[in-house]
Amino acid sequence: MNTEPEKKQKELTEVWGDTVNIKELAISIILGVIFTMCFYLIGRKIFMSMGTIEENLAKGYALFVGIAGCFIAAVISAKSFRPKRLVAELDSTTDIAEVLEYAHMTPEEEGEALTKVGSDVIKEMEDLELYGLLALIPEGANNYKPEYRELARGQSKKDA
Amino acid sequence: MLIIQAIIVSIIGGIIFSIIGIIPGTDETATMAPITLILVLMGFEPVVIFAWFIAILVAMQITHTIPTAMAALPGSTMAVPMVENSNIGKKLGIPHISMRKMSAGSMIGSLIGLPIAILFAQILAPLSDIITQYSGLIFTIAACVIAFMSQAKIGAVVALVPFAFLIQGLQRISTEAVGKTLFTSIFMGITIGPMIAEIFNIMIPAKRAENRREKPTEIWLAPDSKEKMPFFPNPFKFFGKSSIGYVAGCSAISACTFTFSPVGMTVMLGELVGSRKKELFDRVTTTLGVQDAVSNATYLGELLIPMIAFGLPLSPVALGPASPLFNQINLHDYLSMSDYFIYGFIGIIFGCMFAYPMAIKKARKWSEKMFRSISHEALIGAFMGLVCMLAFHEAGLFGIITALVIGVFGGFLNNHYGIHTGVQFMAYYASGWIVTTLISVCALAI
Repeated sequence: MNTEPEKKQKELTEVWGDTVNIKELAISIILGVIFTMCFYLIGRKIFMSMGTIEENLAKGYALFVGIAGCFIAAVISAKSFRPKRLVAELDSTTDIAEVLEYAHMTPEEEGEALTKVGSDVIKEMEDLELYGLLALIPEGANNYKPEYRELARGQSKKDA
Repeated sequence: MLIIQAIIVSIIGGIIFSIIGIIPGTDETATMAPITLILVLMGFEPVVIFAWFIAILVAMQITHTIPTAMAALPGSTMAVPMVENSNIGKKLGIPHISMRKMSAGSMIGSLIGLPIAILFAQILAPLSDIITQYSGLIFTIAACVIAFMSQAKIGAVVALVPFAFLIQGLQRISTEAVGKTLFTSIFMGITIGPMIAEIFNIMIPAKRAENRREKPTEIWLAPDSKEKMPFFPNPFKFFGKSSIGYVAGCSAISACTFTFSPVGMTVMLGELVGSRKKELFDRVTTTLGVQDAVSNATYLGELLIPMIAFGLPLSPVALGPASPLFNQINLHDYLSMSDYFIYGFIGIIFGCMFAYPMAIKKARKWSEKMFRSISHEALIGAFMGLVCMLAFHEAGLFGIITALVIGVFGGFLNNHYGIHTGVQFMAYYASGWIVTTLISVCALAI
């Protein structure tokens, strides 16, 4: 989990569906675990020593104290580390092949499936401008419209 | 007068628990039971307390979708099965649509679940013993079907056996180590599995080089729908005609179950519907809607059926979050049939008054804010902290170890073989039956 010190360039990798810097991730996890656990354990100690509340309930309340610790850790990490994502509002930059692979599917399967869905689904996808997916419909098949591919291309061109 | 009082407590409870629901990982028993107990002790009328409980349940079920959809952090244990689809939704650029589908599904689950659970309590409750007897077998069959529907096909079915042995083996070790079997630690382990396997990759130089990213991810958010939304959007309108049937049907079925765990039902029906939907967008959005509908309807069933039919806390919900309604004051003795309907619907409508319009309308704005300002590292760090705390809360350090062990193996199954976490959750529910049956078969051939 540690990065070699001689490597100045930040090392990025993908974890849990998004890009992260390995070193920053390690620090964030350590902070998250330490803060949450310390707060929880301290909270538990306090509530248990009060003696007036039932043991199970005391532990339950301690969870809230732990969540507070967790929240503090998240704020510190969020303030120290910037997001490694670019929010593109107008253009679809979604890498469809990658998303499909993540969902354990192939573009062919998706294209085939798209020919079989109802018009309500297609309409919804058009509204959301999910042209990257719609462009996978094989030519001439049910639900196929030539403009999908153009629109999908347009989305990625605008981006470049 | 009572009705006005019920409306007021429903709105207040709805607001409080909307906020609690947003906090990831909050434990329902630890939050709902004590505050409800306070109300009971304050001497509120039974019908008012009933409306309150329905209201807080509904509100929490809606807002727990917010962190789940935006960051794939489960808003509560109930939202754990929805993490995988939420992650795909996020990658597709539609986290706000995920959130809407879940909130709308949640509403449908409540609206359908309430009357069905009340009626079912009258008619079929005596049969429940038989269903309970076969629940292990039912879960095993469902696990096989769901496994076969996954990308790994027969491989996933075969993998159920070693995975079941792993889980039961850990349960046995756990009984020795901490004197009880585990639930949260194993569930959290399966949930974080894909992440654990990725972090494991970082430690192996060859894998690490393979997974290196050169530039930040570019995330796109699909535009909001152009239609103007009324203050209280009709939840049924959020689903097309090819999916509304699934959402409504699954709500009705799950409202009749009160011995299965709500999470188990959510996994089972969600995966069954998901496996019938082949198209990605359709699959993700319909499954999410079904899952939140089912978790809501099962919750209502688990509360209402034992309450109306027996007045005994016979379900996990009745024993946990709703325990004050059975122990401190037994609502069974106070409410009439019409009370259940009237105050139940008051609870649903006024409980979600705050949460539902908010989740529907602010979904996109919040998603965008989150994407721009909160780094993924911070979210993962917080999530890992939560997982450790919840596992520790259940079984001390041993709980954390269990979560990591399950996480590594489950993560490999998911990342390398496409045996997704839904199959693994089902394997958890089926593991008891699979292992005991195989052991008795083995005993025949000594």
